Amino acid sequence: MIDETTAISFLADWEKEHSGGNAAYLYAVLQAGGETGILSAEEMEDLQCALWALLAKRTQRYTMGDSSSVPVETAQRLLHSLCFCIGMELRGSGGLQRAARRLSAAGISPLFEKGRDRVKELLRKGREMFQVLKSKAVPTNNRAFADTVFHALPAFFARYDPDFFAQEIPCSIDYPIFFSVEGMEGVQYINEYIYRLLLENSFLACFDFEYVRRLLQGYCREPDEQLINLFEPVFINAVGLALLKKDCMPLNIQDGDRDALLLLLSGLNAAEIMELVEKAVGRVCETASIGNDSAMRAYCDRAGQELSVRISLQLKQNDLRELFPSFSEARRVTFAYTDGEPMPDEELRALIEEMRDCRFTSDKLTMLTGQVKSLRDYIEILPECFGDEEYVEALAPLSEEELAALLRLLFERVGEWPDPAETGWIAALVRYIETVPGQSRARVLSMAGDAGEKLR
Amino acid sequence: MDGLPALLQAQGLKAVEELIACNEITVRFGLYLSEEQAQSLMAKRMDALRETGRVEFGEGILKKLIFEFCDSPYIMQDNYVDTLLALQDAFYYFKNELLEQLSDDELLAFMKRHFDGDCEGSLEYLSSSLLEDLCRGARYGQAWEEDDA
Repeated sequence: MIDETTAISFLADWEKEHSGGNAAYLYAVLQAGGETGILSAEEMEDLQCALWALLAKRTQRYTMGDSSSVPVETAQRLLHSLCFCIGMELRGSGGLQRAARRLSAAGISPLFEKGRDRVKELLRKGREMFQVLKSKAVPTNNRAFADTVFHALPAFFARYDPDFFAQEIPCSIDYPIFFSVEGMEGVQYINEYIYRLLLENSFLACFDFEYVRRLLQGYCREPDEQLINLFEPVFINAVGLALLKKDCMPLNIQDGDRDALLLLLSGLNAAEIMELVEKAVGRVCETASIGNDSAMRAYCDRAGQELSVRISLQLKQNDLRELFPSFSEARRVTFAYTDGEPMPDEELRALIEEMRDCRFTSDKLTMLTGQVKSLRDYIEILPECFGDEEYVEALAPLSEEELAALLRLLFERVGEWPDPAETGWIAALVRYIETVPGQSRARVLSMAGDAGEKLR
Repeated sequence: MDGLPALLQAQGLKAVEELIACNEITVRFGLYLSEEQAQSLMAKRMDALRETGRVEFGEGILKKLIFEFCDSPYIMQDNYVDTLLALQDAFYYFKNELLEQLSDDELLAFMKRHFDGDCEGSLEYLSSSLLEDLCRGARYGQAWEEDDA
């Protein structure tokens, strides 16, 4: 695992002191200094002039004396970089007021120089962490992960300019990590991102990657093409299995496991769930042999807190399927439905005419359930003989298997489900599926395959 | 940054004195700036910078413009200030259009060579034709240097 001191640290004082970027921190210091009288009006003016003079000097260095003027955008970026470096040096002074005193005593230019040295030191550490990440990256085919690790991050280290644009991130970071980095800029952002990604990567590396792949296949369609965080389903399923006191390494949570989890967690309050999850996280860390890695443990604990919140929310729906995914083959229930023989055309037309003449819905339903043996006929009859307010009654007699087969049949024809708010019997069917109770609905959607996936 | 406009306003007016000091050189070519004219030039400089979205530090480009163009046969005392204003506007405009690819000195030298040469003192020809060609060349990666011949 990486040396903890190489990173800014996941649990740094960053958020405690000031959650904004370094430049925002400098303005906060100036404001606090002015309000508390630490910085007099004259000193504030002197500091502004010193900043202006430094900007002029840095601009001249940037243009290498070739140009007396620069576009406003360039001047803004240069000024932002100055403030970023000064803010970085002032951060950690022990609060805004102490930072204001330090600003007053040291002056703008020396603080900028020190801050820039810190930026360069962070850049060196970032390169080290990146080398570790590159050499230990898990063997995933996820495009966003590979693009970020093997293209975007090298581009950052090739293009980053600590002298003039220290706050910028000259690359495109696509891969989402479980805890996104907030409020940081430039190399600070990248280092913190790499640090968290390293922790997630180390966690993933504890598991047989074939299991990880199969889990991801069950987690979403085409997981290699999706902007998904790989750590999330692995961590969640590992903790899920640990909650059941099962071996967490195989990662697969089956229907029975989900039912057991539902039974275990239902009725518990948020604090009780959090306590159980915390213990389960501990078991996962021990099993994965990462219990002694304090940074990893802290990361997993925080992820466990996040998971507890999600569990509490999912329990309100009485369905943990969305939270604890299964391996792809376990998730797709094999299902074969044999449709009945359709009526001859003349017979079908006669039945439709007869049902249209019926005054009461109950009469139509009697004819529907008594005479119609094929879903293909069902699809023809429903829009012709029933109105908007009658669709629910016409759909209610269908079994789970028939509903699933109907969804499949229709999806093959229409290709896309309409908005439930629309009129028409297919939209009514979509609305009806939403009202089917949790477990039953899950079975129907699962049996319906791709057609059901689109309704999840 | 929010503080930038405030910082911009802090820029001093020392440059006016420096423009007037240029008279020591330009008077040899029959050109002279009064204090009022120098102030007007500086004010217009700020307008030109604002309009072109640029920030300038130090004394600005006017002093260099004066020294570059003061020996031009096409500039007389009567049109001195107006020419400087037009050249200043053109300079900032084309500095942007050239995507920062030419240094101040290179752009000034180009302007002067053509102003005195094929433009025969026509600012309109300089701006609308030659400088536009130069910008197109810069955008499409063509070499801007020309044969002096």
